[in-house]
Amino acid sequence: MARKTKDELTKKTIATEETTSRTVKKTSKTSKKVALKNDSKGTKTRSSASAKKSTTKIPKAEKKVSKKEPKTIKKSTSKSVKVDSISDSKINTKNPSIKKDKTQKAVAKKTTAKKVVNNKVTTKTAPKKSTTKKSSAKNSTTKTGAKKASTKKSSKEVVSRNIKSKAKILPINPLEYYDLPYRYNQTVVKVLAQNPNTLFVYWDISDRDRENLEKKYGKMFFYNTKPVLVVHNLTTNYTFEIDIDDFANNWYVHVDNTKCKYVVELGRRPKYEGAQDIPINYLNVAFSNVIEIPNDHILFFKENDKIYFKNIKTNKITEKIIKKKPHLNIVKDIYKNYNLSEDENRFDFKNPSSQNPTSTFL
Amino acid sequence: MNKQTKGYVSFVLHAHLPYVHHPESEDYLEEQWLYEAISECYIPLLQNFQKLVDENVKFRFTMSLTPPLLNMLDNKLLQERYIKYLKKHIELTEKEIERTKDNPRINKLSHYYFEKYSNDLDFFQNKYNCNLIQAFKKFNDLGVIEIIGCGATHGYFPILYVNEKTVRAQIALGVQTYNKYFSKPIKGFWLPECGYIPEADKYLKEFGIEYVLVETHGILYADPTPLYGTYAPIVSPDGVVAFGRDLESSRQVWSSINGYPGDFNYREFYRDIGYDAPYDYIKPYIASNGARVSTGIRYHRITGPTEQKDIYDIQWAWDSLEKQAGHFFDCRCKQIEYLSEKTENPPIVVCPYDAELYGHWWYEGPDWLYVLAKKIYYDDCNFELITPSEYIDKYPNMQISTPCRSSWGAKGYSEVWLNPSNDYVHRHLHVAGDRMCELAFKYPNESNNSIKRRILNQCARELVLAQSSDWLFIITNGTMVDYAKKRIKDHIGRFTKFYLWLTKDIDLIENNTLSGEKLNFLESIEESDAIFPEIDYMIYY
Repeated sequence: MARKTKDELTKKTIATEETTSRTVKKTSKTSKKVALKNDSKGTKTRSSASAKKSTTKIPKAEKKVSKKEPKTIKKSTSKSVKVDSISDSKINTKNPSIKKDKTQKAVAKKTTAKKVVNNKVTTKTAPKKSTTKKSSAKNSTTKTGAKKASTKKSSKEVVSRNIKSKAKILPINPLEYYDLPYRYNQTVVKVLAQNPNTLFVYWDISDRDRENLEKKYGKMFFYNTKPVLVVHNLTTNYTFEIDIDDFANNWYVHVDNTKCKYVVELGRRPKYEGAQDIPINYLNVAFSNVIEIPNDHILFFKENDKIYFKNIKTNKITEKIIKKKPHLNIVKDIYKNYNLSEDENRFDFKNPSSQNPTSTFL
Repeated sequence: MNKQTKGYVSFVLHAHLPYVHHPESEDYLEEQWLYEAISECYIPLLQNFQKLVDENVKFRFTMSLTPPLLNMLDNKLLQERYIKYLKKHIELTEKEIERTKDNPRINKLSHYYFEKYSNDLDFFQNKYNCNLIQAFKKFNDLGVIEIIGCGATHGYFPILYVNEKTVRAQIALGVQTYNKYFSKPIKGFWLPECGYIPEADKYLKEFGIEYVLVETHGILYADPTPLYGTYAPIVSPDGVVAFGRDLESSRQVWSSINGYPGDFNYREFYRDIGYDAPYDYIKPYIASNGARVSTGIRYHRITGPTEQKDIYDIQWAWDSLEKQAGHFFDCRCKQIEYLSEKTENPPIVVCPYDAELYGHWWYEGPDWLYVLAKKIYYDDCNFELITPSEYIDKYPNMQISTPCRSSWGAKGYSEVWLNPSNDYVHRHLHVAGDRMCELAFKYPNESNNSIKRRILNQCARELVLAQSSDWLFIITNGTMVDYAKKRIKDHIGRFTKFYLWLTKDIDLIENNTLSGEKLNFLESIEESDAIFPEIDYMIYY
């Protein structure tokens, strides 16, 4: 990837977007395999593409800027250079003078995105009075906007503020700007459980592993093969496969069986049957961690099931054998308090308690 | 008071705020979360606890105070800034008394707020010497409030545990922080977001945790099914006791239609002089950039589904909260009467809430708790308040069952903290976690005064700060998103920078020295990300 020119990449982007739609169709045809790609698929594909470009030393920051920024700022940021796509850390000082001559209107419209970009101005631009900027960066996040957006916040008032008066002395902290790296250049597959029916998988293949594969199977290996996720349900011993595409780096996978252990395998298959130069039908790239997906229903008992009780002070364990009377009746009486759904063993998550926000402040 | 106790009710208030500390500037509005929470929630709760103690009412509440909150309450700079916040509010309320003098109903409230903020200042500065932790500790020592621990920075275990060491470190730091501030041995632990995973049990056990709290279906969907539902605790195979949230009582408080906080006599959250007062008048008291924000001074009551809000009346609000406390009380009596015939031990009804619900969203909440506690103590009823650990001591025999992986977030699992809006974050948290373990393994037991140890410790701080579930929550919630995203970038960025020093800087690796510029940078970050001053990176070993 890193060796491709910009033009090649652009072509590739278009090509993959096509591939993507094809893949989707394919997936829907093979209906036994259920693959849920998140809604923002398009966006993702694009963003991953642009991120990949960053490895070709095209400053990613600059790209973003040009989309959003007013002229004055664009000019200054165009000097910014991405230091290292992997090391991801940059410290920059910003030039506040740019800001000063902004009109009030511009101030009012200001969004954090801009501020972030402002931050990106490299040290090369004269770091005069770096303080003014800082204060504005904070304005970005007014609590108001959040909770009370409803009523009173009129932008007129925001306009009338005076930036200069807010300048604060910045005692120690050098102004920093960081971007998250697009990738860490390591071969990895990780799987998390989003809910009892959805796994979230993310992955990457390191440059070295890519090169090794190309060495072994030919330069066109990644062109002639497509990535697949092989999902193994370790509890039921069932496996299914999903076609994915090379411009995604994560996927949401729908699974039917809850409370099961899963492992996901990233692999590659020839794009077309009988594709030339590909001596194999399937190649494993990496395995994920094992994850147990949550349970989503009350398991209930059967008569003669055994359950155990423990006195946690003495560690004494006692056994109970479930009998219709009294146990199953108790369970029935107790569990009817929980507003269970029609099939009697699911819990209604529309109850307000489960909407409980993490913190009423945030 | 000679009542026949047939069951128990246990309130658990979870007090948490993310670590927001910006010594470089006073303009971060996010810092106000702390000040508002102190004035609206923590001080009113503490004052009501004190009233109950003074009146010899026997009561029990359980509270989790999270490590970020404890670190902030213990922070000198934030204490000073809170005093400044109060003084500004007192100044504003003085002006309000003058401005509202023609409207007696509002004017009465202006006086009320003036007194409230003056009392807060006295309470904070004189009574507790600017450190509210002492106040909580006092009630903990008295045995009326059981303080429990929480994960270091409220990291969400079901996402972190792909590297179990990072979960263990969250637990270790949480327990260390508890031990730093409280003298009673730790018993309970609030799982951040009630995010239960069986894999964490062994670490909870390792650090002496007796019990945790889980969402209702954490118990209902447990394996095997708990015979008594959420009305009795269960113990996991690894020996951690789990209490589940009661559904009925939490609905009564939370329901958006007839939940208690929506009473028409209660204070309206969205009408604030920060928005209503003339701009030039209010300008010195709102955001420094001139944006209108709330001040906490609110004159209206909810009134009803209308934009025409009536003036708030403290007495009417008090009438409503007494009525509601009575309703809650009656419902629990009935509930326990029914349940006590089914369960082997007296049933326990566990009511966990965000502490900040009480006072911040529901302004009258702390007083409601006070009235309820008094009622339970004095009125004829079949239940008592209890803490989970007291219940365990009384009834240690419980069913062995593994709670279900669950959380208290919307839809009950991990969607709030893992969805297309924030899923880009997780790989960074995982890599940083792995790298932290790698560093600990590479540089075990660095000597106390070595520069490497300082950097390693700061790495650990940056990692746990990045792991806060709050940032993911905020991104999902769609408010203050920029701040949350920036915090993730900053902490991951700083972590990575330090990591690269420790793996690439030959001078540092071989001679344990750092260039002047780098040293300055390290110092500035140590000052701003100053959580856990005593952290030891070897928790990742």
